[in-house]
Amino acid sequence: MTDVCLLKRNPKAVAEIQNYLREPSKAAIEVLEVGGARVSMPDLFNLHEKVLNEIRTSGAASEEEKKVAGDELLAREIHIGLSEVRRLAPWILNDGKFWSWLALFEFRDYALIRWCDGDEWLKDSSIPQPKDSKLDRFIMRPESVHSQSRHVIRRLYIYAECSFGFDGTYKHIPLMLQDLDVPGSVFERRLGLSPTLALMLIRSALKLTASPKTSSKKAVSARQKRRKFMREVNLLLSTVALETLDEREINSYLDQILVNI
Amino acid sequence: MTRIGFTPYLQSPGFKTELSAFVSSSSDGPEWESVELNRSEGFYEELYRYQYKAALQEGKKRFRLAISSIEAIGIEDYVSVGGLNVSDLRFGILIVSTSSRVRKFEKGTIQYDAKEKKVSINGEFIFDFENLSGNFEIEPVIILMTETKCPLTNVKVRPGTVIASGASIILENALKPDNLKDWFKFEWVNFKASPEFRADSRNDLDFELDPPVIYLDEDIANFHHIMNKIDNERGKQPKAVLARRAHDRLIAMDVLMRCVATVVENIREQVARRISEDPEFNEYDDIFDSLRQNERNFITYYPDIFADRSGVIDPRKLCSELAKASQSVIFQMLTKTIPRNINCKFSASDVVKDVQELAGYDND
Repeated sequence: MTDVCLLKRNPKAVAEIQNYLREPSKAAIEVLEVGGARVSMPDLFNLHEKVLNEIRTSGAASEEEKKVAGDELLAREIHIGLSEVRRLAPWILNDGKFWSWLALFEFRDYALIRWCDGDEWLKDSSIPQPKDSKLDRFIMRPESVHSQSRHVIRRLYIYAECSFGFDGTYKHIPLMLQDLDVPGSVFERRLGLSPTLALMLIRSALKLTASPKTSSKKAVSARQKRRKFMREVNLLLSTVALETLDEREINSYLDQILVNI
Repeated sequence: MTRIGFTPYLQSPGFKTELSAFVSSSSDGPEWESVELNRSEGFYEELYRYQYKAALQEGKKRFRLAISSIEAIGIEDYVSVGGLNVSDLRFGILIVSTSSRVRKFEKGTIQYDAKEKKVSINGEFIFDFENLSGNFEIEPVIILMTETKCPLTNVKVRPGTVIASGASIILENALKPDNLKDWFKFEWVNFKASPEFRADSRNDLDFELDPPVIYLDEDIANFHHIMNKIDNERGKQPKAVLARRAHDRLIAMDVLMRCVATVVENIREQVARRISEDPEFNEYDDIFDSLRQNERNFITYYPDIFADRSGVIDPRKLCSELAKASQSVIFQMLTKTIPRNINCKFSASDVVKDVQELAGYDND
């Protein structure tokens, strides 16, 4: 078992993340206690090893697909592993200090492989360091859905929470990982806060594919279409409370928007 | 969340409600004590806030919100003229919290009095403080649950449409900063002897801390002390008094400008980061959520400082405007509009007083 910990302060900027990655001992960490007792979760060292193993050995064809296989395993397992935290200290799940601890310490190698092309840049100064936007994924700003949906670990927890909140299973996680642009565009908006609505949106957005250039029309990427789709849904939400409707009714609204994209 | 503006079907935005709020020290007992919701002036027709941090600190466990209508809601024609059954309408609250990742509807009760042709609503909603984190936006709404035609315009209205909304309530994990003195902590620092501060600066700010801290250079206190002559009761004041007043005012203004600059800098940083990831980034609505709690509070509670001549003071919209603005507009704001606002709209004398009191001048 692993005691749940958190950094003593939430990292403010990517410069701090770099420092912690270079010199982990500089980060002050505290153990979470609720009513004087420590809160535990299943052994994270083993889980981390399992995820790394999945990335290394999965039968996926491309490097990206291998990483996605690791994502799927980690999403499910981290959600299961945090059940005791949800029961005893749910507020910790909204604390950036907790998620930064997971990203910087418990799942450090996974996080570096997933978003920073490994840790070579930490050892060899001639290798350019990752973009700030990659290192920013180690920071979680609690009120920002954008930051939550981009955090190296928090985003996976969100996918699992959405799937589990929808029907009590994890079977929808692969759908969310099919094209990372889709869950990104749903969960970085407030409309992704409702599990049912989020899943319906993901299913609909996956139907949007790129349109090639023709003699009369410019090429339109799937991403551009999805962005337009999300904007339209946001507009709809100003007059319609989709979160009160069932799947069939939500789909009816979304299909109507899809037709016009 | 406020639903304003024209729709081609009958709707009642901002219907009148009676709101009562309570907190309880027990997890399931019947004991409740009444608390006051703070009414916010400005951009919303009606908006109430409750800062639950103080209740948490006092060991309160639950928050209860009771909502009921106090007069006809304004959508009665759907039932009385359109023949809709009241069971096809649903009253409840829409709850959104980005921090706790909640977006859901909780049901209340809706009734129709055929004799008086009046729709009435009521509901009681309980929140466990243990499950609250960050801000919760609550909007009382009446939703149409079946497709129908508007009794006035004959326009088709689809299920899920919000046909009435009442005053929103925001639960905030904060203490309401009535003034700077109640919100900030002040610390005296010898700037010349402290390498972490610029020697030529007179103040600094840390918005990360809770409460946020304003650092003031000890020279300010020294100057104030030297110039601390008693004001004349009438007539011309001694030069020392005039100098002290001018200096105090400058410091107070400088403190506010530093708060503004910190907020604006963070907004711009957030935008720059998102554009670096996605060159086509153009949705600015959630920039407000990306700010630190203290920065959001600053914009929310001192919107007059940022407001331009058009009077935009919705904090979320304000952030979005600042995020979208060009460098030249930001420069103009920081050098002209905001200093002017601080001087004209904001009560400068109050800020000076706050800074003086917090800085402990009286204890010299």
